[in-house]
Amino acid sequence: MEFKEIDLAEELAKETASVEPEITAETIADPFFDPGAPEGGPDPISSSESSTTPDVSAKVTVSFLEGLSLLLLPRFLKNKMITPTQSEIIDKIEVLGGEQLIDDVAVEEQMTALKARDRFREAVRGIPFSEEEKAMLEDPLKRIFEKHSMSVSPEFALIMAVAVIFSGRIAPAFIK
Amino acid sequence: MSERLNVINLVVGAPGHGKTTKILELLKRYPRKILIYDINKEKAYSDFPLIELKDIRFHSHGIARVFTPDTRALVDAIDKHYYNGLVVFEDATKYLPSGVANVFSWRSIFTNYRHRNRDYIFTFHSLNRIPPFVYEMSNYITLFKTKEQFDGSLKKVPNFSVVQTAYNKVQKAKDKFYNVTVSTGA
Repeated sequence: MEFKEIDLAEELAKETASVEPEITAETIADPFFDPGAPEGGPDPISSSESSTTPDVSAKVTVSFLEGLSLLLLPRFLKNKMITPTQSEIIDKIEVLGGEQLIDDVAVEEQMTALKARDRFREAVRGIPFSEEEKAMLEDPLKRIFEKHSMSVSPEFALIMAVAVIFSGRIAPAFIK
Repeated sequence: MSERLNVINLVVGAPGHGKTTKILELLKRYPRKILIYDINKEKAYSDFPLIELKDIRFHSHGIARVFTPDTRALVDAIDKHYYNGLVVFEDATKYLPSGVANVFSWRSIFTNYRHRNRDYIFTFHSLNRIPPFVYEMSNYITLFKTKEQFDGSLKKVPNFSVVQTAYNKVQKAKDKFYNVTVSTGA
């Protein structure tokens, strides 16, 4: 046969004759098969029951990160911002109602301890993400989920939501 | 535009010589839906949505990827549910059995494709890795540079002289990505 180069793109761009899907006993028994419906059906991504959308996956992930922060950061901050001695002084002052200083510790030392406590409380108030911060995290995370066709399963989303809800409630138990 | 019969295309070349780039160019002009069996999870295909096996029947337009280690299930799903479109079988050497003609599901894929209005593209790294049955059933072969000697042992190739001429032309070309498509006469 004579050597002849083919333009495959040109060839494949030509139309072919459509065919109708074959109806067999198996397709009739198939709960997803509707012979009257045009070819196609639910969006292949949304028809899957095993994953959440990228948007939901991003929101759930950011909430989980926030919950982790609420659980772990207060203890870390306290260890860094308040010395054990200062912690003892603060405890003694607060046992007495927190309004008066105690007798057996220098005033200056007590004031320093109380200032450290106030800075710590301020830092803890800043742990929860603001709406802006959540958006800064959710937007790129959503694009990452979309790009890599990843998602969080509904089961794992529930686990993360439970972790987030309870982390705020049990976090005080981790701060001594 | 005139109608044509469905075709089976073999795209052959060593890695890194442009097979995937060529396929992406072909996909741009293909008029119907496309399914890519992305066995290697190629970065070049990562923008296309990944669907599950059970959703092949719902794939109605555009380009989608499917990944599964269960090639048998994939072939069954395509044979039963995929009509009116193109299937790209990337790196077919990894999963196409050498005795493909004796494996019912694959044989059905090759014999029913025109009844289902399907076109296929199979990619291979070398001419020698292509099962004889696949050669017999193919219509076109696109050759990139390969790392093999094309000799008499490959006379299972239909239109051997034509393919050999194309092979020689590609091997001699200075451009690393040079490729030629010829008919295998099926």
